[in-house]
Amino acid sequence: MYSKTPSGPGDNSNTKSFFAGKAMETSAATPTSPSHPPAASPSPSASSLRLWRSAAHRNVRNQWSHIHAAKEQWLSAAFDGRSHTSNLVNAHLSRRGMPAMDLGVLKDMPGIRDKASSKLARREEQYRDMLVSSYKNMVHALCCLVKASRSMRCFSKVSPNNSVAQFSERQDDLNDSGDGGGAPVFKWFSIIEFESFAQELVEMFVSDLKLKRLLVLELLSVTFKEGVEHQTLLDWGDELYDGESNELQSIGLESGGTCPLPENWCDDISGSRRPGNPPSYEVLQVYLTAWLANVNINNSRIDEIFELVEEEMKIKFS
Amino acid sequence: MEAVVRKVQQRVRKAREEMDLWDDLNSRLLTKFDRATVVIDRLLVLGEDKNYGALRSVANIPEDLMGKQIESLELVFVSMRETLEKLNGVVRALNKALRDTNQMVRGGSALTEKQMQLQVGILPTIAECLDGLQTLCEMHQAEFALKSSVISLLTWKSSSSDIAALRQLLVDQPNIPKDEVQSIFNIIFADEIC
Repeated sequence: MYSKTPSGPGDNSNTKSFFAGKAMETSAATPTSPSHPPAASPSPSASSLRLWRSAAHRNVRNQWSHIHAAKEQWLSAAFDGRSHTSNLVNAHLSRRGMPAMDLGVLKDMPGIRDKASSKLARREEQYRDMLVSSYKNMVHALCCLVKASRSMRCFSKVSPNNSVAQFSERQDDLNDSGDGGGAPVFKWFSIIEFESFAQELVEMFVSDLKLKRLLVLELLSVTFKEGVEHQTLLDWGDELYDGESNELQSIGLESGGTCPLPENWCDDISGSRRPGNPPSYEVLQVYLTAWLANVNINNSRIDEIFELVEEEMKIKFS
Repeated sequence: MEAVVRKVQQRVRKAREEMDLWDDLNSRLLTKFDRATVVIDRLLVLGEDKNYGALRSVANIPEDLMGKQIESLELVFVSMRETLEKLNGVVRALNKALRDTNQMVRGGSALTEKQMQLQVGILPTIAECLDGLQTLCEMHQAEFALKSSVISLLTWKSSSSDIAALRQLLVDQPNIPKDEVQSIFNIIFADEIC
């Protein structure tokens, strides 16, 4: 897939035509790349390319180590969430079963059931809070991931006296796409290829976050909260914690105040949830499984992507 | 004569270390077996549409979840087979200890039958040591065969009563009766006990 075209500054004619061809091809293939005509994107000269490349090295490395950290953070928050979920479900089931539970010799103690129930209810509330905070950490990690995935490019800075070449994350010149004309950053991969790897990760984590959001929503709806037990079902559009919609908005997951349902989900999401009808033990077990399975996370693909990137940059993230 | 007995005891002591490793591996095998059981139980619940609650509106979720669970079940199976292979390693090590000990007393300047039966004070006879070691080898060999078939019988279609019976076999280790093992060691290490 990646031909071994020499890219050293010494071999000018060859590199130029290769870069130009590459840039055309990729801008046609990926809709995210700037859609200016290829003619307007001049192939950078060898010396400016060399300067760009050293700035790009630093930036791409940084962004990928952010991505790696965000991935770890997401997975560990999901892992914590998993134990909060199962604790929450256990406390909830115990409390639900309390009226019918055989207490043996304790059954004659005055108020024992009420006391036990209120204790379990308090614990349920604690686990709810812990679950929400894990979810919050996942959203936060995803924000970092998305931000890094969008900051791969390295633009030349237009400096007034033009004496020193400088680079920044901001695009000053519309003709500058920040990708070094499609040149390989290290050895083979261009900025666009790095971006598409990152995008692949983003999509996995986004789709799993949506699923987990539904689970949190559902668990918060059925479990105890003082005063509002089983009375109000949370809606997909509700904020699960203060500032959630701002964070989701910042990564483009929410528009106009509501987080849109994933395209391939049925519309009657609330239709399948009825108030006052608590989910069975089996349903809760499926919820737990859906949480712990990280359904949309393809671990082997993630490892593969990081291996490729590490190999390319000759660094190890962990 | 006493020196030979001491050497044989030393071999058996090595064999006993291998058996400790066996116990350790067996409890690891049990942990993995339990992990597989949890997944198999889950698959049963995941198989029914009515158990999906609010997740019903999520496209393909039953297939995805089942797929993921079967995948992790496969991983547990692979890891159980690895543990089995290590148990097989213990069996091989015990057999080797037996062969080496036999070689030591029968090869070269072979001991006479009388020497084999000779009892020095409280020390065991060499024949007793060899017999004991051989019994231990046979026990573990048979138990390994049993464990292999138990593990191969466990599938995602196993019923919970079958699973319980299989698990009990792993716990009981019927081919390695504890009291018999103990009495073998009591004879071989008679001088250490008192």
